Amino acid sequence: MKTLLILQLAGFIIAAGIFGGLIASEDVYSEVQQTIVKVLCLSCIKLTPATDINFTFETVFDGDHPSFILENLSKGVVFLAFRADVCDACDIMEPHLQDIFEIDFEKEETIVVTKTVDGINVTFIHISLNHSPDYLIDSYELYDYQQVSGVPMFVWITYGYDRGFIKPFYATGYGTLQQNTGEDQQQQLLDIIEDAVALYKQNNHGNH
Amino acid sequence: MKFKLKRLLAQCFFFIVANLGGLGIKTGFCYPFFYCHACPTGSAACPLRSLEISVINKNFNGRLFLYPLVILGMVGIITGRAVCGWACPVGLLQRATGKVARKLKRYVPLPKKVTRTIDQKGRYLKYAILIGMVILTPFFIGFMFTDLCPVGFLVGTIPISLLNPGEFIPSFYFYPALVIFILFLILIFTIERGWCRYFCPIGAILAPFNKISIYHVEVDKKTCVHCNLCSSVCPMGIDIPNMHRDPECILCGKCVTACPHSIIKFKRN
Repeated sequence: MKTLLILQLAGFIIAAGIFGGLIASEDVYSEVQQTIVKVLCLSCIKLTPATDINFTFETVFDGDHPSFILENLSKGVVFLAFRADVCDACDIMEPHLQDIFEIDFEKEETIVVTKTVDGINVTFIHISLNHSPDYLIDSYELYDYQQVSGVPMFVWITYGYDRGFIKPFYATGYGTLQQNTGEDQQQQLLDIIEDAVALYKQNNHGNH
Repeated sequence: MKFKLKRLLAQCFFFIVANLGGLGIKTGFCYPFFYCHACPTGSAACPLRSLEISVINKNFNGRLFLYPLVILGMVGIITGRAVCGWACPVGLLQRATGKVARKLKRYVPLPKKVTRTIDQKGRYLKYAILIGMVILTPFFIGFMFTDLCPVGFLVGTIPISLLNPGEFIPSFYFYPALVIFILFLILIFTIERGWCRYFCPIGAILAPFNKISIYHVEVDKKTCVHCNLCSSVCPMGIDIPNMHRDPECILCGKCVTACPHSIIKFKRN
């Protein structure tokens, strides 16, 4: 009986101590909250968003475009790719991004790289929801047009003409972009980059 | 208040707590029972997902690995597997389907020897699933139990599809998960607490704690007349007169109520 009591006490103190330590000294609570609970786990629901990728002016909750977007947009098209550490579809799409931008990177890395398409700069920013700086992660909600809260999420930002004004104009795509083969997925990414570049060319001059 | 009603109220209370996400309460805790964060109203993380993520693709994140284990450990040391009987929403679901399973058992009797052997051996399956699909396959090949989880299908896939018609399409795992979900339904309607007995990986984590838990069910073997009324009502199919801190006991208390000599009791030590 005594041994059992010692076991119970020791076990509980150890478990409670580790739990308290984890909560107090590590950011495990917010890590679980931000990367598991608040993000819609597409692999848990075995579904992928069925989205038609259309350009729009309206950000979620009418939020202002962040300064890093506006700064890069003044130089050309901006292409954002959001991912999380554990994400099957992100792993499927990542090689296409590496192919298109001719660069190798790890899934945890924050990457900013520029490529010229049809004479226009395309700035690619790879954002990890687990590791990237907060100002990049915070832009996720702004462009999560369907409020899916899922990853991967791709955002193409260019200029568009809206009732007399040239404004940032963006499109959001999710998952494998409803394409089944690797070839089609890559082509879809490229097609929208080309659309964004064409829109940029049309509207950039009006911005000045 | 009747014991049965107390347990039902506890289960309803924890069901509401598990779904506080509907009010915008999305915490960073892990559930100490089986429920899915992909549920639109989920308020915490599935402990299995945290374990899987902690070992995914040969990476090891000690914090995410320990976090759900210490939460389950604290609960397990105090109550053992009582959360399965008193708090788990999947337990609540099986409480409802158990009545059908019981009736079915009466109409379709199977040879006792066969069912007993399968039942005893089958209980080890949940440990194999825990080690194999929650730890090993995520570590080596990136495949996770939660990719096919039938509870995720029930509380995540179905409500999200219904709430957002036309906005989602099936992914690669949808159809295998659908088959598993149908098998899950057949299981819980044919075997009382079939999921808890054979497949629940959270049950596999909590089960060993029954050996040392503060709360447990005890039988006074000296005065037991072996009428077996207790075993016949046990939803986990335990041989209660010969039980001592059985890892399968979910402390539901059905045997305590059923015993005509009141020799089965909840103990605290």
